[in-house]
Formats: sequence, structure tokens, C-alpha cells
Amino acid sequence: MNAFLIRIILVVLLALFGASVLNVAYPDVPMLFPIVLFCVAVSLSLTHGFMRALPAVIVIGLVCDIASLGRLGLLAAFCAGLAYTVSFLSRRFAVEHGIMMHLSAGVIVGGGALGFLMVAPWFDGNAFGREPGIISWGTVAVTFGIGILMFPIISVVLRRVEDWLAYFDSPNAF
Amino acid sequence: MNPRGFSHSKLFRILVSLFMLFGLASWNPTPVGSFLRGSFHTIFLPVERLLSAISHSFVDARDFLTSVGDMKRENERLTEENVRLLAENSGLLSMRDENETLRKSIGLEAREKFDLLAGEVIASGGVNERGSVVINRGSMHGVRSGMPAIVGEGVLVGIVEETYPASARIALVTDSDSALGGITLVNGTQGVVRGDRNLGISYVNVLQSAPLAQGDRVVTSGVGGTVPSGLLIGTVSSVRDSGDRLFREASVLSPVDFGKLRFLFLIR
Repeated sequence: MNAFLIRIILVVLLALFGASVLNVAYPDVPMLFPIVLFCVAVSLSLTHGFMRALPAVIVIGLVCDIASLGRLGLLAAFCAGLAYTVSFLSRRFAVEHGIMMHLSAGVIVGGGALGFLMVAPWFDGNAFGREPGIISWGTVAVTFGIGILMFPIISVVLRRVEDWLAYFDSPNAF
Repeated sequence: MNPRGFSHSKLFRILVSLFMLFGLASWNPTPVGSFLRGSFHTIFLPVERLLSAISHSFVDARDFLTSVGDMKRENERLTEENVRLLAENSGLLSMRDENETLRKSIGLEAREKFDLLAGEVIASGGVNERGSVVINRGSMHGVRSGMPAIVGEGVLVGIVEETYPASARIALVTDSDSALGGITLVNGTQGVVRGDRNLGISYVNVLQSAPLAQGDRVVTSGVGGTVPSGLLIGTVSSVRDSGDRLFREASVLSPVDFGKLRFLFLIR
């Protein structure tokens, strides 16, 4: 099977997993799907470089926007912004791949998810992010915690998938 | 800096991308979004049904395991409530008979029985669309925009907002954009039921002079004609003045846990 087609299927599966599994099974943790998505975007940017990853990151974000019933472009914009941020910071601070890199990327993902949690309602005509107490310190801690925990797992899974897809890309496949 | 170099830089690309994507989100082209969502949820409906069924089973198992400790207390509470409801029900049954006799005597038609269409939740909105769910019934099953969605004997949970061939998007009553006429039982205080930031329900635009208290039940008033009257929305949990102090408003607690919504019925 064509590697491009497999990539498209994986993107769709990610979007379906978010809308029909994460949002359904964990309605009280609404930031879970954005965190998983941002982990994928950041991981792609670190693996392939920002310039190569940008088109894929935008497509993944848009598909997830469609699947999760959200405003078209909002998740995609955050994915692109985070991919750029992590690429910019990794160059400036030359963070080695390892625990520190995973920790930094997890913190950036958590920060992005919190930003999304605050910005998304503005596009809906209300501004609950501006009201103190709605985004509590507990939510902040949980968001950063999930981001830090999820990033290493998702980046390892993504690397395995990339290795597997590289086999399909190679001329020796089949 | 060389302008040609800048146009090929990362900064330029991200600025252009962000401008276009945030522009798209602000513009929110409804027909395009509706078409894309419709196509997506139609093509991948079987996968969504499978995934959501697995998720619902997982939620059931998780809820069962986490609630084992509370079961004894919950059982006692439900037994007490059952006794109270049995007493209330027997009173209501005699009132129903009396009501039917009176309606016949003054020539009124019997109260409407709803023609219902069952649906199952197959996807749920995320952070920015917590007030929406997608069900596995669409225009090919006769679903139309504006149809009310209920659970149980008549608890309103939302209104169909968009229909796709094999699925439909329902804006829950907690959706920030939802608004419909409401009335309290007993006192008959009228107001507007609005979604409260996709998290809860508010009962607003209630006259200062109108009676409104904690524990009042709010039902649909039927004003507007699309939603039948008498569908339960919830119970008033707190009352306060509106921001401009011209009206009173209340927080309404629905008996439905919108996060655990699985099956619902559309009124045709």
C-alpha cells in the first residue's frame, strides 16, 4: 500500500480516536484530545524539522477540527504555532534528545493546551477563560502533567510508525 | 534582511499560516464547515460507531468499578426516593384520570404523544464544542434541523443543529448559542433557557417581580413552535440578579449527565 495513503488513514484514525474515544470516554478532561494532537505536531516538528512538518501538521489539525466539530482552523493554528515554537526553542537552546527534551516539549504541549482552553471559547462568543476560577490551578497542573506524561509515549509511538512507514517508502518494499 | 530570504524563512511561513488559520477560524464559513463535517461523519460513520461503542462500554465498566464503594449508600438513597416517588406517582395518576375526564368534558384533545426516533451518540465536541454531539441518525432517517432531542420520558437535552445524510449534530442545551423559551412549573414564571459557556444551563430574562426560587422545575414553554411545551429542562439551583439588575436569572441543574449521554430520542 502507498505510504501516503497509510499516512492519510493514520491522520483520520487520530481524528476519529479523539472525537469518538477521548471526547466520549473522558468528557471531564476536555483538554486530552488537544494534548494528544499537540504531542503529535510537536513530535513531527522535532523529527522532521519545522519546514518539512508544517504541511502535515496543518492537515492533521484541520482534519481534527472537522472531526471534533470545532471551528475550522483553530486546532490547526495551535498545532502550527506549537510546531514552530518547539523548533525555534530547540535550535536556540540546543536541547539534546533525552529526558530534558521530552520534559521541555511536554511543558510546551501543556502550555499550548491551556492556551487553547482559554482561546477557543472566545471564538464561540463567550470568554470563560477570562473569568478567574474556571481555569483553576488544578486544571493547569493536570494539563501540564498530562502533557509531560503523554509526550514521550506519543513521540516513541510516532517514531515507530515513521520507521514502519519508511519501509513502505523504500524502493525494496514488496 | 534580503526580502526573498525572508519570504522563505520559517518566521514568514508560520506568520502566514497563523494568519490564514486564525482568519479561517474567525470567518467560520458555515456551509463549508457543515459540508466537510457532513462528509467526514458520513464516510467514517461505521468506524465512529465502533469506536464510540467501545468507549461507552469502557465508560460503563469504569463507572461500575469506581462506584462499587458507593453502591450501598446509593441503594439506600434510591430506596428512599422510590418510596417518595411511588407516593407522588399515585397522586399524579389520580390527577391524570381527573384531568382526562375534565379535558373530555370540555372537548379538549388528548395531550400529544411524541413520535420518537432513537439515536446513539457517536462523537462528541472537544474543548471548543463541548455543547455538541453527533448521533447516528441523519437526513436519510428523516432528521431535520430544529428537532428537539430528549431522554427518558421527556427531558430536553438539545436541538438538532446540522443534519448530514447518515448523522446529525445536536447542539445541547448547555451550548452557549442555544436559547429557547422556558416556564417554571407551579408558578408559571417565564424566561429564556440559555447554555452557560457549554458547561451548564442558565434561566435568564426573568422579570424582577416574577416568583423564582431554588427547587423550581423549569420546562419548555413551547413558544416559537419548534419545541413542544412541557419538556423538562432542569431544577433551579440558585437565583441571582442579572448583571444590569433589570432581570433575575438562575442556574438550572439538568437531571441529565451530558458527559455520559449515549442514547437519545428525536421528536419528529
